[in-house]
Amino acid sequence: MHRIITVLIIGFFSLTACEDVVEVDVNKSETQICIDAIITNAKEPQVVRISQSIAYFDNSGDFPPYAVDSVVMSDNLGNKYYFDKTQTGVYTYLPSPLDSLEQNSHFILKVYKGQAVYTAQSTLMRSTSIDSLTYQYNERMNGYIVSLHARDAYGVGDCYWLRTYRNGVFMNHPGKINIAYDAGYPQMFSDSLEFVFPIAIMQINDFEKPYQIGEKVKVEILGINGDYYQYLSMAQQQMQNGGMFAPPPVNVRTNFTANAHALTPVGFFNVCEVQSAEIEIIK
Amino acid sequence: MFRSIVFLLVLCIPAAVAGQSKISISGYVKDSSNGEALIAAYVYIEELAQGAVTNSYGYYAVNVPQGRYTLRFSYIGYNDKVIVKSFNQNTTIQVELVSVSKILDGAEVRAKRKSESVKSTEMSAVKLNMRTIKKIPAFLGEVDLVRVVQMMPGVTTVGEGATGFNVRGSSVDQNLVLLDDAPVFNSAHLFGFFSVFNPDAVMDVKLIKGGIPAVYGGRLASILDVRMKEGNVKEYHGTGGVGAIFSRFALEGPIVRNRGSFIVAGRRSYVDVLAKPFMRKELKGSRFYYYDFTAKGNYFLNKNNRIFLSAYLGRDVFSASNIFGFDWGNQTITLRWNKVFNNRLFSNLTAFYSKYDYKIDVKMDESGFDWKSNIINYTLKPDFTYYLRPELVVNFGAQSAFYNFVPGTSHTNIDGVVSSRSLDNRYAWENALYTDVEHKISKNLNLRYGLRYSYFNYIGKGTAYYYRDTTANIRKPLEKTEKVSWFKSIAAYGNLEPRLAATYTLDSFSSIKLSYNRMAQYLQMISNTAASIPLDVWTPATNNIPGQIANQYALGYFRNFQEDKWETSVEVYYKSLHNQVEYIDNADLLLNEFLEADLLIGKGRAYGAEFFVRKHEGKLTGWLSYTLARSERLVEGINRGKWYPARFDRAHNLNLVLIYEITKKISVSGNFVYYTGTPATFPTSKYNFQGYIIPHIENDARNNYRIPDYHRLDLSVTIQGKKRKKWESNWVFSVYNVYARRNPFSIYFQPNPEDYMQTQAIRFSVLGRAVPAITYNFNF
Repeated sequence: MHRIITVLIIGFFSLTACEDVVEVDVNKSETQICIDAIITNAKEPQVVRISQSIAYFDNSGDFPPYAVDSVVMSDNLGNKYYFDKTQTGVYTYLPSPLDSLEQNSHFILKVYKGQAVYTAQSTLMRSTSIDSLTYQYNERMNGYIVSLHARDAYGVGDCYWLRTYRNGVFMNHPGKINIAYDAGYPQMFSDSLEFVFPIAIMQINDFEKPYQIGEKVKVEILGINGDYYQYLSMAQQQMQNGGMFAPPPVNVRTNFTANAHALTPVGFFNVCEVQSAEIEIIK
Repeated sequence: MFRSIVFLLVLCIPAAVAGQSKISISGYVKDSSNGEALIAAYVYIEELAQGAVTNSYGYYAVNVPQGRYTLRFSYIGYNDKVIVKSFNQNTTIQVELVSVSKILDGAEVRAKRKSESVKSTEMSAVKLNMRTIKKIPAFLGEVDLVRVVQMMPGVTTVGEGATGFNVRGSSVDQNLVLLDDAPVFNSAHLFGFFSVFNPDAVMDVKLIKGGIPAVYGGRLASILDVRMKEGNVKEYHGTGGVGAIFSRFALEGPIVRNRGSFIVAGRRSYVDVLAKPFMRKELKGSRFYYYDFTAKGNYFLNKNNRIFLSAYLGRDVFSASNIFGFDWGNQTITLRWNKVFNNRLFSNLTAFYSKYDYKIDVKMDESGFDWKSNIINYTLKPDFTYYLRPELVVNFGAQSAFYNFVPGTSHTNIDGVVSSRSLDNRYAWENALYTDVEHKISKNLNLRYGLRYSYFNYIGKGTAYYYRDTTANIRKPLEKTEKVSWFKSIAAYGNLEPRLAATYTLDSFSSIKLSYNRMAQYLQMISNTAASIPLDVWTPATNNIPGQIANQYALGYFRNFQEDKWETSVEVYYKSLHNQVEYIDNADLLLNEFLEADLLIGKGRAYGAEFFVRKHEGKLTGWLSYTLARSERLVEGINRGKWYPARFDRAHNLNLVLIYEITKKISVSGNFVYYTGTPATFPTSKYNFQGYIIPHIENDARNNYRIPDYHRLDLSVTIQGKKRKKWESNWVFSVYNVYARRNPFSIYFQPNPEDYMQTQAIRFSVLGRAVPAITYNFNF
């Protein structure tokens, strides 16, 4: 809601307001270890990526991988899943470990490096099924707009993360982070309804560059826990925090902890059920 | 409990209350041209070397032994009036003073010595009259008193267009903004570019930053007391203006000649009409405008009874092509009854109603969302002034306020399925008793001391929420909720608030002043953004949010030069703030039933030195103010529990205002401001998570950097139009931000829109260019 108002206000102030890219001096800071561990039940390799942070204004795009000794996940049934190093900083498990698991199973991920141990926990959360993806030509935009048809699972409090891939490439626009609380947002009562317009349409399309014939669109719905919902919502806020009505920037909160031999890392661990659908735009 | 409090208050009244065989001289001091009361006019009895000051209604009273006296009535900008008379019994003297500017051309007139700033016990206070305010270059040519207040020492703002003002390192919601005694919860139009006060309807403005008398309470930082004009009791007059973004008109005149008068004033902006051709396509069909309407009437029922009725209604409307609508505004109504019981006892009974509300409406095809919120306050406030002796005046009174908070009611419509959601209303009852004594101990020592006892009760009907403690900065888990029936207390807070101000005059042109005040505040605006927005919701102190407390100490040296032509002062202050509200990371502040789980309670401190030089008379007038200040907060869970600068902290604050009268017809004015950049939190590193580049701040720091300094020059020229018999007019040409500096409001950090893997810093300036304006003002 803040954002809609901010957009309008900036529209108003655009008569006089201006934004310029400027150089800012910030001190060199300590390197953070980032553990990116979003695991799904999809039948594909599951990857944990570990890398290091870089200076905010370092635009080389190189986030140095961080080599660790081992990456191990365990569940409440006593199973252990060993992730193998496939590249420096990239640890893979094949096939998906979660194939046969019940919902709400409990997982612990441990990452070992020398004496340092990083730990996080997660519960497997349910997703919801996708009825279909459809598309329609929009003359004004000169392209196709894709709509998702799916319904929130019955029961209040489901959280989802919807990931859109355009021709196999994940749409990583920070403004397109697509999260849902039931079929809408936390302030609404939207249990077991169809996903609302912003989630089902706005966030899976790039209106400035609408889909064209021949393009493939894939949407995944990941069931996530409330903490990860908060994480993504915070990440989105922090990547786009600006303007007159911005709250103070803060760090996105990780669910990892570190033992006495390491500093708390950044990143997140969540185990999710995933449902997906794909469509190709044809004439 | 109650009895002991009353006892304490009574203790404040000096023991020597016993009556003496004295007579009293009392009456009203007014402006001869229109019959408006002159507030704080000085009445001086030469033989006794004693004096009195008129109150907010222009009333004064002095008790003296029988005898022959020379009474001198004076007021800045007016000619003195001297009355020599024998007084053998209680006497009423009504005085009308003639404004200097009304004297015939050619006569050499200079206002008499006005050493009030040196002699009065008031310190850390700024008085402004509309005549001065109107001469200062204004944004878009529209005179605005809050923007002038922002140029006073100790007052800052977070930036251009931000609502409200920060006084001595306190937040915006810690100012009590009074319009004819009724609190105004949001003093801004168009976010913060203009204030809600129509300059044509305002008589007098006073900002009290320290040494706050016990008469006032309820906020920590300051009192901005705005008094509306009473209206001309002699003849009908109109004033108005046509400006770049809005027009205004006011009409005043007698209801019954010399007995009662009225004023009505209205404004409407038309920025949307003018902006239309420049709007981006998607914003066509947008509307944003505001209007306000101010009215006041007063009537002398008889010599000793007078009633006033004032009202304000203002609204900002902001909408986009029928998709989005947003409007907000204040309403206040004040009813006052002045009664002169006898020559010694003056009373005023005030009843007021004040409301702030907003509405949002979003529609998209068949779906939509709407949301409303408001705060309402009903207050009854009897005040008495007892003129015991010329050197001893006792003010006492009470205040009882009932608050109704509506944090939010909303409806969501998803394809025809409507669900509504309302947060419980919250109710509170705030009461206060006070005694405030103005005591002249000796020729050199003046005291004003008092005690206020405030008692706040957060009451049902509603739901009380109880939370468990947890690690600071983590949402507190809910322990239980409890339904509470009507008027049942959920939480109550009582505070004794001692106040003291002392002035020691060293000689007739210099003095040393010191003051202490303790203030309590029981409601706050929940706002976590750089500039507060109209959506911010007011919330009472509850079982989870304790009442806020501030202690302030101030010391000052005041000296006037060249027969009071120059007024200078230096003040230092230290303030400690307790129970300050902060927010957890990612706090959810709107429409959140469990809001209090997202709040943190911390403390603050603010200190500084203020330097002020002001020239009242001559062709060149104006002031220079410089403040060196610091404001910090300490909150467990933020900045790893270490002190950090407040968002509105500015170390250096310089304001220069100059008004030069070239001829009788043409005057030029300019102001220059220079402020240290406000603190901001800058990320120091970034990491790649799921293809998102997320910023990271080392050590979870808060306000670890500062944005560049702010400075700006504004200029204006006022040209008087041809004087016709009944018609006076002037043209004001102004340029705001003359050298078009892009002063940053903030610097923020975002991925490059061309490549999300790259990040950059963006300077956001609300005004990036010089803004010229023309205004035509008239009065008849």
